[in-house]
Amino acid sequence: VIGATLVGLAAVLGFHPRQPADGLTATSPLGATTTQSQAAGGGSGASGGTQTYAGAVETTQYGNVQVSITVKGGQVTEVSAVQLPQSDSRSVAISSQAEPILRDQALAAQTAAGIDGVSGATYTSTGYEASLETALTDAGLS
Amino acid sequence: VSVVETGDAAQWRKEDIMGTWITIDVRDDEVPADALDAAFDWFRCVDATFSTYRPDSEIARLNRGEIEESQASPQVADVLASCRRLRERTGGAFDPWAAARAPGVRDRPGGGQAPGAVEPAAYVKGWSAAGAWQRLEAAGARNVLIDAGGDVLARGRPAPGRRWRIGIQHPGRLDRMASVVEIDDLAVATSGSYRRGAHIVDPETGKPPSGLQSVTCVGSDLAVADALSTAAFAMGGAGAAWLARQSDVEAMVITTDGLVRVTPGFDALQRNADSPQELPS
Repeated sequence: VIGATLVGLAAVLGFHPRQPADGLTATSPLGATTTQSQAAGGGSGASGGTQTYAGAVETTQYGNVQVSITVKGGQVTEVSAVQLPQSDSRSVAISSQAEPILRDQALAAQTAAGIDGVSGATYTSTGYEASLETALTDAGLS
Repeated sequence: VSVVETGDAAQWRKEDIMGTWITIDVRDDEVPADALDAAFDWFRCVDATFSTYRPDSEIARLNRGEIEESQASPQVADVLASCRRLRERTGGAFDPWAAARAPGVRDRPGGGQAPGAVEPAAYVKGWSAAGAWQRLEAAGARNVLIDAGGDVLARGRPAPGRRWRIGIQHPGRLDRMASVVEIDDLAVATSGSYRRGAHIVDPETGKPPSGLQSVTCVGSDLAVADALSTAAFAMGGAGAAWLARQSDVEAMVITTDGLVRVTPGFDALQRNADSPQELPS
């Protein structure tokens, strides 16, 4: 159901150093923009047939968890966290992110590309799949 | 606690522990059936000892002042000694004692206001992965990948003749990688403020963090790599130059304007991944 693609992989692998500074090498800017946030509204219409569905708020021992999904052409193009608990001593901003199912899908695709694992910021498991499931149901995808 | 998924021959397993997912992937041809059991038992034991979400953990008793650090178990004493060294090394940018004073932590079931109150979770995750590896190695495993909530510890080889290939999560696109490194016996930790829109705030300032989107450290000690990436992230724009001076990790930082910067050693690990070579088995 969830279409995770790795089209960006080849592009980002082509980093080439440009100038040294502070002992670090500056390489190409990332291609994808990262600043847009998704409004969490049940099935809010958007341009290009893109819709966003907010999952239910799940209350866990760690705090509230809510995710939203963006659907385009019957495919989940993005899963984002609306609410996540602070799962460790890092700040809220970096405590938990990444999305298990999309991540696993990406991992599955990467296995073909020969990738064995992924390092990313800590993510929260509890409640995540339950909230995601309701968003998928709302979108008619589960 | 439940087994989320199991793979072939009980050599791959994923469980939900410490509020995150732990995955262990053993690539040896033969490994005792109970080797993974022992490793996951260890993670559960660590959670029971260190969690601030449990009123009965040792850290909870420390946080309420029921015990002093001098009365702590050897494992807790070991972790707190390492945390203290890292706090000093990072000039306070990594500070589990300050973390324990945050209202959201202080008010947890295992939080408290004792003078020695501490929340060492950011160190414990990597430290616990190292303990799991020791148990797997003792059981005869040699070729292992442990993923503790995005902190990755690699040992041996995934297959004869090649190194472990580890993707670094793209901070803006969760289905993409920002980089891929090839490593032997190394660990990879990443801290990031991935896209959260208006939800991104630094609890200290109440404002969105600025400067860096993502920090990745590769080194021999996963807990140190995690602490240093957390510290550099907290330093913001100054974090990159600070990391470049740390001799025991190689690093990649992604700034808020999308610039990717790497240490020469990290670049070499990327180049390994760019053109994999057949290695002697």
